[in-house]
Amino acid sequence: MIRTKISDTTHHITGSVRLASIGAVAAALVAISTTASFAQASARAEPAAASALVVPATKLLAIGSFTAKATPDVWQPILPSEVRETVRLYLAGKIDQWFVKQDQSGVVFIMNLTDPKQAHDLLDKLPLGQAGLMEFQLIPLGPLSPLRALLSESTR
Amino acid sequence: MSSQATNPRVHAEIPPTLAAVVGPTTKILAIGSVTAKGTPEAIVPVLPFEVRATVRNHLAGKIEQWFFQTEGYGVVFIMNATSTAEAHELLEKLPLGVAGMMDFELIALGTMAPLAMLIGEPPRA
Repeated sequence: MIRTKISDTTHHITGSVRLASIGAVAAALVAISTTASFAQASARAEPAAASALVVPATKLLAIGSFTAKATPDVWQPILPSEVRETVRLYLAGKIDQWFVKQDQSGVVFIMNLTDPKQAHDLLDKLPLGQAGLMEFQLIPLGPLSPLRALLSESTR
Repeated sequence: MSSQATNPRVHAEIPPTLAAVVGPTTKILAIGSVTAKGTPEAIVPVLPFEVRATVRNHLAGKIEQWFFQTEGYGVVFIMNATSTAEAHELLEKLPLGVAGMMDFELIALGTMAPLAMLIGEPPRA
């Protein structure tokens, strides 16, 4: 429901909702790291890993969807310039990977950016974005932090 | 989620005229979110098994890329599967999936077909 509308505003709302749950999750991971700390306590003293789940954002997942007014007769004339501008973003190192959604609703990019605002600025300037025909939802991505669980257990 | 579930991000009725700009399905984007059942107390004991099963799927070439959502508790996978059903079958067997504590939204991905326009093969109208 939260994800169905895609805009800057929605990104922030989504972030807030997710932040509401991250507290609980951080608690869960603290619990894990605490267990691990007990297991290792006699071996070596490590600072309490209160940041057990925290990883830096390294990429952005950008999910582009046609808006309601994007009928094929409207976007088809724009597509050639959209393709060229997208390739330019790739050549500038901003788009790392690109895909088309097979349900024909838009595209998926993995971007070499970590700031959603910067990504929005770039993506909204694409021809389909300028015409209000495509909107992007942005999800910051980082390393798969639960892999830390393997490090803790390997010391047992 | 059902592999047949509609994509909630589809805003518009897109007629099949786009068929020409869609290539084969090569990857599945899987966006995993914790369900209401996935309370911290419930997840903690399962997580080590979840991680191991995920690594096995990676080593088997099924999960090609994996990420953590840094603004929420969830994961994003890019999977080497050619249908959402195939990906769903793998993901529902993960421990958190079996326990009903994680749901995946699956989006079938294909090659950037519109690039064909740059090599003189514009999509049919």
